[in-house]
Amino acid sequence: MRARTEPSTVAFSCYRFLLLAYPRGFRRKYGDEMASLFQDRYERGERSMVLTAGLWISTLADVGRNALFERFVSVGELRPRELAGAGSGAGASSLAGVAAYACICCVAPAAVALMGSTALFAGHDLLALRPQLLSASFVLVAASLWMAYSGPSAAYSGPRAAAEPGCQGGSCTLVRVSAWTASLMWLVGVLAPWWTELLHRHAHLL
Amino acid sequence: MARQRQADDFLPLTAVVFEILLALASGERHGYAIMQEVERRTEGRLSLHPGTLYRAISRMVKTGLIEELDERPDETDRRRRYYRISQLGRGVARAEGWRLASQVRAAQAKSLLPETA
Repeated sequence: MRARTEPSTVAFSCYRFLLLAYPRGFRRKYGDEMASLFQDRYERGERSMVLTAGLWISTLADVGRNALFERFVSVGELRPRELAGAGSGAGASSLAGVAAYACICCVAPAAVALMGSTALFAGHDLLALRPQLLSASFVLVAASLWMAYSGPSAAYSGPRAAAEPGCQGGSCTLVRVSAWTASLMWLVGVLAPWWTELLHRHAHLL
Repeated sequence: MARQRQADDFLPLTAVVFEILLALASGERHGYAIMQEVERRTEGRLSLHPGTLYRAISRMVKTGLIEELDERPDETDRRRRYYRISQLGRGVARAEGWRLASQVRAAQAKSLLPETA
């Protein structure tokens, strides 16, 4: 069997860049193997343009979905004192990563959607800008961040909890953000043009 | 003291987790070999992407369903991590197998499946 060498294709470099979406700890542990696995899949399909295009589409969906959930899991597993900011740099770093990722995944699409709907209404009503829409975008951003950092608490127990200092009886209460919350964040952002238009047309609120 | 998790606590398993356990039931493998085995067994119906595979592996290692080997059996590529099924994982896979078998029997009883399936 031939020894594997580090591939230097553009596709491989692009995939390594995409891996930045994952939390640092996960990336350090599994990044090399994931890139290697991607490279193997890519080499199988690179003779066909259709297969390559399909691979990229499914890879983008795979990275987007799994990196998002892994980000929220990494926050969910932080200890309360880390979330309170009293912990080491690891907690703060993880929170900063989540904040950045929340901006990319939730706030940015919501902002783009709101800007789009603002432009739509401006063209329709010949108004330059609706301040109410800007207010709504702030509310949306605040709600997204609140959901990202709080969410329901859940009791965690098991070998890891048993090893935690300060956890009574092998059980800790950790702040978690569920998959439902993450999905809701996406939904609110993605559906922003629809609900703003609905409010505008039917309730005359915007 | 934390309660020891039982096999039934994990049921029902997701398709990805069950397929990974099945792939590891016959021996230790690295990620790419798991992916190939799952594709071969499901005849391409389930294709694991790197993110899905390694996120599942990460969860399964944390919950104790599988274990990561300290040594690297393949000397030609020491970056690859190898995994094996744990005793708990084997029990969970067996419990899931029985659960699915029970569902197949129920489907047969309702004439949704032939008796020989």
